[in-house]
Amino acid sequence: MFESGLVLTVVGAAFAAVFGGLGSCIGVGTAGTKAAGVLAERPEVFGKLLLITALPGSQGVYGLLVAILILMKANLLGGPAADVSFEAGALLLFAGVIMGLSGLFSGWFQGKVAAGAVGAIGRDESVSGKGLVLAVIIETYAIFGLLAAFFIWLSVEVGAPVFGA
Amino acid sequence: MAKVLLQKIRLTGLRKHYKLLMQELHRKGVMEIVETPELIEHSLQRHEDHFGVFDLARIDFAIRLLSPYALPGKKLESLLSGGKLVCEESEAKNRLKEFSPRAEALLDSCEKSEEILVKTENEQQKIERRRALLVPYKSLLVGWGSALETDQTITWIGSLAGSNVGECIEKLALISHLVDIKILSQASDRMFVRVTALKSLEEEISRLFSEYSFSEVEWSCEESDEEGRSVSALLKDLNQQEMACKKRHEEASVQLRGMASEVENFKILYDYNSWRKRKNDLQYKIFQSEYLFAFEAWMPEKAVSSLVEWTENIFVGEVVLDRIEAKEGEEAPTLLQNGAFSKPFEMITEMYGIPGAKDIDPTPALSPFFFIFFGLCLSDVGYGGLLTLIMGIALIFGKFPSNLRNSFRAMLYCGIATIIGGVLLGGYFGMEASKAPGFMTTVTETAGVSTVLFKGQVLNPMEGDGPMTFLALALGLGMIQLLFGVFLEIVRLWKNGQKLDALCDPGAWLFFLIALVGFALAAPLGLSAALMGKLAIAGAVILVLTQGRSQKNWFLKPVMGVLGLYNITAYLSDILSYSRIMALGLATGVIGMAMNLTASVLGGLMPHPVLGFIVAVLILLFGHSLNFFLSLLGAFVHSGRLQFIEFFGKFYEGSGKKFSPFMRAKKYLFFNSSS
Repeated sequence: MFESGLVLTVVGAAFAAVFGGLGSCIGVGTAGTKAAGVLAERPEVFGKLLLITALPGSQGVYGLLVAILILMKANLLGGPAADVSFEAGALLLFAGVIMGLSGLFSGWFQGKVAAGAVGAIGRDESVSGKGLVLAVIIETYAIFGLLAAFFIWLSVEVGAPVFGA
Repeated sequence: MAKVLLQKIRLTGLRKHYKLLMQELHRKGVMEIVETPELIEHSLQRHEDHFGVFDLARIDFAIRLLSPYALPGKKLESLLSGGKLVCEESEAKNRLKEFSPRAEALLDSCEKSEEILVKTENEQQKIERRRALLVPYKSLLVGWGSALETDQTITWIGSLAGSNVGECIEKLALISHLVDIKILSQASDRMFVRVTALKSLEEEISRLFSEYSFSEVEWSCEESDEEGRSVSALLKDLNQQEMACKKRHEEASVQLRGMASEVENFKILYDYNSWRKRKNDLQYKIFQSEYLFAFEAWMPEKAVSSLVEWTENIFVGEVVLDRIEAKEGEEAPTLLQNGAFSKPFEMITEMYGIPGAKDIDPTPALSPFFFIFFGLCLSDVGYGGLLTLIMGIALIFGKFPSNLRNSFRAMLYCGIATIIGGVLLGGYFGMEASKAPGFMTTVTETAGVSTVLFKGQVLNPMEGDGPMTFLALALGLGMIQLLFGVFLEIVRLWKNGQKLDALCDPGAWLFFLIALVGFALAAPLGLSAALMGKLAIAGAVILVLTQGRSQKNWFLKPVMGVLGLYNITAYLSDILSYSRIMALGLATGVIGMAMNLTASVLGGLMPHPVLGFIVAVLILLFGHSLNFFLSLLGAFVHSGRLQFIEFFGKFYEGSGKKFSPFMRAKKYLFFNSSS
């Protein structure tokens, strides 16, 4: 079954997109719920809340980015698929896993910090910049995950498409 | 540049000039009046409260209430002015004079109409609930609320729910032929029935009903005159009530719509009243006696002499302005002043915190870095152009207060940076160079391999050496910023008179770090590795010798020195943090590319080329808006974060208080002429 690395490649892409997206869902969900509550009392701070609430959305984007890169490497975005060895497939899978897990956890916890910041902004608008900074600190680890995945991706070599295979 | 020197002053004068002076100071907005307890203590308690006159909450309420009824034709205008009323000051004054006498009556009538709106809406809801309850029983012949029991019989009225309603009815019929079942109406999941039976069967039927979860209707009347009337009569009444209710609601709306043209006048009234309130509140900070007044304030040192001249001219020596010393431990508020390029970036500094007494203003230092980082993070000519365009329009055509204009100008600069970054990294709405029109690209051939790049593009972050070069660029910029931060700490400590600290801490570190960087990059920079190595070791020795100097215990001194050296890891992690610039720059391009790909693939799948074109355009619009928004947010917060955590961490505290002058704050007005 694993003679070709193509299956592993696709699993890797899926892993990055799904878990990156999951992290964003949880994060934006946590922050968004809180923001909606604050809005009921102070609709005028909507703009500031929107920024903070959208912050954990980036993990999903990074996950999608890695997924696209992986699919691109295997030439799965149109045209015949490239000849991906088992080893190359496994490496691409790991790139996806790194991105997926770092996205999942950083998005999750960023959402919690963002929700806290949302509550603080509800009480005092002037802390919005500081709240934003606190939430951004966590994103570093999603970005490091993205970079690690990117450099693994960069190192993987695949063969030319196998025609008629 | 940087922080403006503020001077503390005291104004003393004859009380008869108080009103005029305050009015003019309020208009000029040059000083922050501070509370001086020693003065106030001796003040005569002549405070008057006029809160009835300044009923701002009521006016604000009226503005919010009436705004939705205002003319819809002015949407664009109000968007460009942020909902403010743009007018001349003289016009506002005239309108205020005309409007003030009418205001009280209008406020009352606003409140009354709003009360009617709320009341009728509640009533309407109540009517609808009642109707929903009654309608299923429309065919019932018994009067509502009349007795359900006779000597011999008992009646149930209610509904059965669920899938086994038919079963229940069948079982009921099987109990006895003396059970009368009438199905009144049926909804999708519910059956409304009347069941009448002999009293002797009551127990059996009750058991059956509880088994099939029969729910009895609320068989009571809210008003006593409803009792015994038929359902259709009750429904007719409800309709009449509803008509009356709607009519009252409509009348109130019409009345509000009629007053909608007064919104502008209310806005003028609000701002003028808020100024009066501000002046009124001030009397608690000001010493007043029968004939004199006195107060203290901070103001820019440069403006003092012209204000002295002005008071002498107007009040001929009857109001005196003195320069005074700040009290021990009293910190002056901070007013920032920067050049045209740095000024808008004060917004970034303010997000973190205003410089305190011992801080230097970091704005000029951070603005070029923020500009570069933002440009590299977003790095797309298309997105940058869009941002520049939007901000340009807002700045040219919009009427916004100055702090908002500054933010827009900062974003305009960021847009320009993005265009530059986009040219250098070849970002044009995520387009691939090989698919771009020929006039935009150049083909270079090295060792038989031809590569297509955009004109002006210096590196391709996706291929070959590109990623490593980009990463090196990001980390290199980070290193420069960090070293600069350490340098600024030397400047700061030196200025504050802590010269020894300046040399031993940041000074030694800067020497050590530069030597270390020189050692690491000796080959590419053409330096002698051996010399740089020796310098680095010398730097390390200096650090070991100086880092423990605050320890009293002589044995601990060298230990603390060695531990201090461990701080090098913090610098390492700080530098690595700058790799985010590369990651974000990459993300913008790749996601944009993915959007283009999705559009072309899905567009190609459509059965008709025109349909395909429409689908592709829709996907492109949606996808690029999303990417634009998320990448913009990412570029902004991460460029900011690098300033706040990595850069500010080296030299900046930001614990100051912003200079907030006594001035006319405008919530709803924007004056055209600057007179």
